[in-house]
Amino acid sequence: MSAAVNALTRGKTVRILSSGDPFLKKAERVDNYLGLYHVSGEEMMASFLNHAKAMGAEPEIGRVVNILPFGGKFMVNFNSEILEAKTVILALGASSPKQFPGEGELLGRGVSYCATCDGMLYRGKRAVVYGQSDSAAEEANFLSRIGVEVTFVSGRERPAELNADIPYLRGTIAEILGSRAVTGVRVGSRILEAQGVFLLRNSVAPGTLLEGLAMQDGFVKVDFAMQTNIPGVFACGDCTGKPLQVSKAVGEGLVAGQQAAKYLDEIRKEEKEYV
Amino acid sequence: MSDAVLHPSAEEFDRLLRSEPLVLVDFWAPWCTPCKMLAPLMEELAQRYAGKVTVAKVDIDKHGALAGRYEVQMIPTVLLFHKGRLAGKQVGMKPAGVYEAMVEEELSIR
Ligand SMILES: Cc1cc2nc3c(=O)[nH]c(=O)nc-3n(C[C@H](O)[C@H](O)[C@H](O)COP(=O)(O)OP(=O)(O)OC[C@H]3O[C@@H](n4cnc5c(N)ncnc54)[C@H](O)[C@@H]3O)c2cc1C
Repeated sequence: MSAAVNALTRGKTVRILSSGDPFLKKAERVDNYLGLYHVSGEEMMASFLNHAKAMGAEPEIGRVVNILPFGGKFMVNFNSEILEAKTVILALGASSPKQFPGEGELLGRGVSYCATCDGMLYRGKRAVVYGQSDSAAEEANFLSRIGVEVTFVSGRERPAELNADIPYLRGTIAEILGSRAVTGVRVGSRILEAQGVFLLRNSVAPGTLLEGLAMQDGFVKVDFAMQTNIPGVFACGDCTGKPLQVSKAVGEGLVAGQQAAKYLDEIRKEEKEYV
Repeated sequence: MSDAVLHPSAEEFDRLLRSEPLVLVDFWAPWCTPCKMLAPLMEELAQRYAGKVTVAKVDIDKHGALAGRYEVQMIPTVLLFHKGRLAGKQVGMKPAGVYEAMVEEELSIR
């Protein structure tokens, strides 16, 4: 939001895309942010949000699944809708997902991160949905509607929106099974047979989101201008590294927002920008 | 849609592999968002390599048998054929440079 506000003050068009649930909301008390003493994370978040809204940028809720640079622009897959941007600022937070055993090896061989992208391939077949994201139940309902035999696995309560006829299992995936293609998953001691596994988390590993993005020690690699190795892509906040703190995220957001604005001025065509 | 990218039937596809030295095939479907993102990129490759590389798209909903033959389990999947032989495979949406590298490599050993 800091990046958005600072790009807005430079007269740029900005859209904020967020899957919700920012880290800060969980903080009971924040005492080290200058000017706001003894405030809860939730209050702080609300005041950040009001600020951004007042300037005309309201987060749009949804998941960005992938970003593709092409012809000096970026195509952004946001909730299965393709948005175009001249520059992108990544403020992904630090909750980069841990991979399940078998996930990397079987990606594209039955493992998918997007039900609306790959669902049709599993019509008439069995699939497990590991639903951690806010929209997971909806995506599972979609799969069921198009004829996939779905089992919903989640560490949380059964979501209220999940269709009553979809079986639900509480737990987490211990392992994804299969050598050339997915044959099933193990949840605790139970084996669920499946040809597809949809891992629906709120966040997507940065390298999966944007192929070719350079990383360093598990964080997005940036220079002092918050520029990543991909021209036109900036990053800020927890996703660029420690300390994982609000002041640092807000400060980097300012740099990223201003640098993105400068980048747009340099390419001499102003249009849209996504955070 | 430009004419640069072909949309062959199954028979036409087999004929293409026999007649054209280099064929880049994009397996896609209308419901697949990443495939739509890839479409302009394929168009551009077709124009840039016109006369050297034939670019074709195969809708897996219409041509399930072709997808099955090449074990396409996720789309987009892009295959490169050199004189009818499978020479390269990219699963998932990749940046332009990845496909260019794949094509350039085959062009260099022609
Ligand atoms: C319990 C707790 C206590 C804390 N206490 C303090 C404290 O006292 N002082 C302090 O300074 N800091 C504290 N922090 C840390 C602080 O919350 C973070 O440093 C700060 O929120 C980082 O901001 P950020 O914007 O980089 O990331 P986040 O706030 O994590 O925001 C990232 C956002 O990106 C979204 N996102 C990620 N991937 C995608 C995607 N693919 N598509 C769409 N959206 C996506 C996420 O949903 C999220 O909304 C605390 C954190 C926690 C959890």
